[in-house]
Amino acid sequence: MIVIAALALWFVALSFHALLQAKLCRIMALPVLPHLPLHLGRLVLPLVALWLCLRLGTVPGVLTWFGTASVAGIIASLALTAISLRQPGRRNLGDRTADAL
Amino acid sequence: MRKSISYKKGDSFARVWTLRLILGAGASYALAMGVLSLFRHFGSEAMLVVGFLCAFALMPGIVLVLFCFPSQRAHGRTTGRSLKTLAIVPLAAILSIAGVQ
Amino acid sequence: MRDNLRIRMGWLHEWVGFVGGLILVITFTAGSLALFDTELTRWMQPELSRYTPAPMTDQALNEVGTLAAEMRSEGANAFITLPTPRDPIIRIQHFDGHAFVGSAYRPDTAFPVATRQTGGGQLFFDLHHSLYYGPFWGNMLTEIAAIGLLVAVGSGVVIHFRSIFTDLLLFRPFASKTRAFMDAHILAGILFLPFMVMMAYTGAVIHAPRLFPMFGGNHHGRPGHERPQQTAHSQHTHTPRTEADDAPAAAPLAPMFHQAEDVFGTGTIGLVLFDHGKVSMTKADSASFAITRDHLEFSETDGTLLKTVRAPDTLHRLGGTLRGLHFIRWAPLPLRWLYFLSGLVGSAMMSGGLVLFLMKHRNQKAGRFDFRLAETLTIAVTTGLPLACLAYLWANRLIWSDIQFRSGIEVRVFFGVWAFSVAHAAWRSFSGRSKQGWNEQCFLFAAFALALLPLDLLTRSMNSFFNGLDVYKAVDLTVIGLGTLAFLIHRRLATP
Repeated sequence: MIVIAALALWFVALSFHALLQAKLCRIMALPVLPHLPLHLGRLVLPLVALWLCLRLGTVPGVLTWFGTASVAGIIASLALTAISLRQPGRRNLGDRTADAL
Repeated sequence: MRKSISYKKGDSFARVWTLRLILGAGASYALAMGVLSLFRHFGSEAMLVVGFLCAFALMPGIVLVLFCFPSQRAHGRTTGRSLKTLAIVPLAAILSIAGVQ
Repeated sequence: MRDNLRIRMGWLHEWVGFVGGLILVITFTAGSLALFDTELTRWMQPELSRYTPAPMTDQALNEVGTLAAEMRSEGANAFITLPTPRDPIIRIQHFDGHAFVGSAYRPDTAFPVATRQTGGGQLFFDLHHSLYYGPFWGNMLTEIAAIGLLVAVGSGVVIHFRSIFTDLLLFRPFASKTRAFMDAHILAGILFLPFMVMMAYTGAVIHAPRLFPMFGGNHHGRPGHERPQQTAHSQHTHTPRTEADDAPAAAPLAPMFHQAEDVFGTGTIGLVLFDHGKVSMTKADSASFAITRDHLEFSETDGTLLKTVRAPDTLHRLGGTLRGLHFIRWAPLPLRWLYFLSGLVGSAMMSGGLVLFLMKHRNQKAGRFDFRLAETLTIAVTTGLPLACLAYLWANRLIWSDIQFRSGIEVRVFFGVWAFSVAHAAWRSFSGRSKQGWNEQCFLFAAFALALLPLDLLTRSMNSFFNGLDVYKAVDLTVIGLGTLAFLIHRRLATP
């Protein structure tokens, strides 16, 4: 249960982080939301997740915290991508490879 | 702005960087051996674990730092200077290994 | 081409990443599977599906001790693994050069359980740490690859530094293929960066003496299975038999076991090792975070306590801590699954990087031999290796359970299928139809993965099928999930 709760908290926190990025919102045509609750959520929710994970013990707790952050990030990215595909204002950038590669 | 690609220049950079990578790998290995010798000499066998931790942080670090230097300021000069600097590193490592034996 | 920091780091990341990535995809894939090596071994011994776990009795331990002594008097370097929650059975095992194999006994009665000979999940363990290439050269290759990973991570961070946080969750799967792969590679790379750095760093330090042999006299090569130096030496050589070896254990093991539990705690003793007239009651790797192999040594003849061996201080425990972080034998199931997912994502991330390398160079170098070779090797490690792993599971169930050397035949099937996939990849790549090569291998994997559940049900006892989630169903469902993913990839590749 703790792992699932940590996953959910990280999912929300990372989604809030993505919604705070102007570039991301523009590219993926995501809605612009009030910034204050997003900032608060981004700051507080990972700490709540850490507190929950530390109930498993120090070492397992820290490892679980990092692990759930990573997995939740993937889930959040996929969810935001799915939402953006349904947005009418989505733009498809052309074939721009990374500068260095 | 579209970057122009000069393949000949790209090839010459690739040659320089390949040489830099090979020499850098050798230099980092020699330096790591020097560090381990110091740990074994001034510490104990048990301290070697700490020595290994340092060595495996040092080795990729050295390669990355080497690639921070530009390849060419004046034609070949900086490259030559970098290689001479590089040669000092394994020499220092060998001297330190010899010193602690 | 300009010469600036990002371009130089890009070149470094690209080339170190590609060459190292070919090894690291194997390391990460095998390592992820090795996290569940015990469970995979149980899946590959379907005879255990009828077995109900029972608590170990003193009488059973004593009888198994007598059996082990008899085996040792015949020349086998046998030791005993005691029941754990992950593997609730007593085993007498010996090392065959690549894996620990042996026989299984009920912990309540010492009655032998007729299980088929198999290396089980240990194949993946060996593949992970030494590419199945031996403890010296194989370990050295993985060590170098680990340093390459650290270089690739560092250079990747420098390249992407300006947008690490702003583009953290950016993913555009329906943009151009290069963009989609790049986004996926960066997304997985950044999110799983702590895990990958930790695993590369701890893994490199654990086997550091392989890269620096002048500094590591006590290194035994096999992670997590280190023994006292005398026993490690006798594992790989035929030790001359002494009178002590000839005589079966005179003292029963149960009192020694209870005495060890009094010192280290109930449920902590996992191994019983024998060495030149001594019995070591050794802490299980799962008993604590740091793997220290603390043990009590007893005389084999009369059971008197000879000495207590513990890691004396923090410095000595440091190595055990690194092993604990890397192997997580102590970890509960949810954390083990997190590691498993992280390992698979790391493997996928690196595979994406290999594909990006090919995409970048395809326009100029598609007709060249070295490009085709690079493409062949990429297909071999990204789709060929999973196909070989699946073939290993299939071979386990299809090969007769009681033929001699069957564990060796299973391993040959694994490498045979992998070699076949390399040949197939080479054929498709050199004929200019590499996409078809990817597609066909994905389809094969999907087909055999989705058929694994029926194979499992047909080849073992189903009397506990509806009794909740067990190891067999967990393996089957995981493979079905991966097979479904492969099928979706196949559909995407098949779409023109």
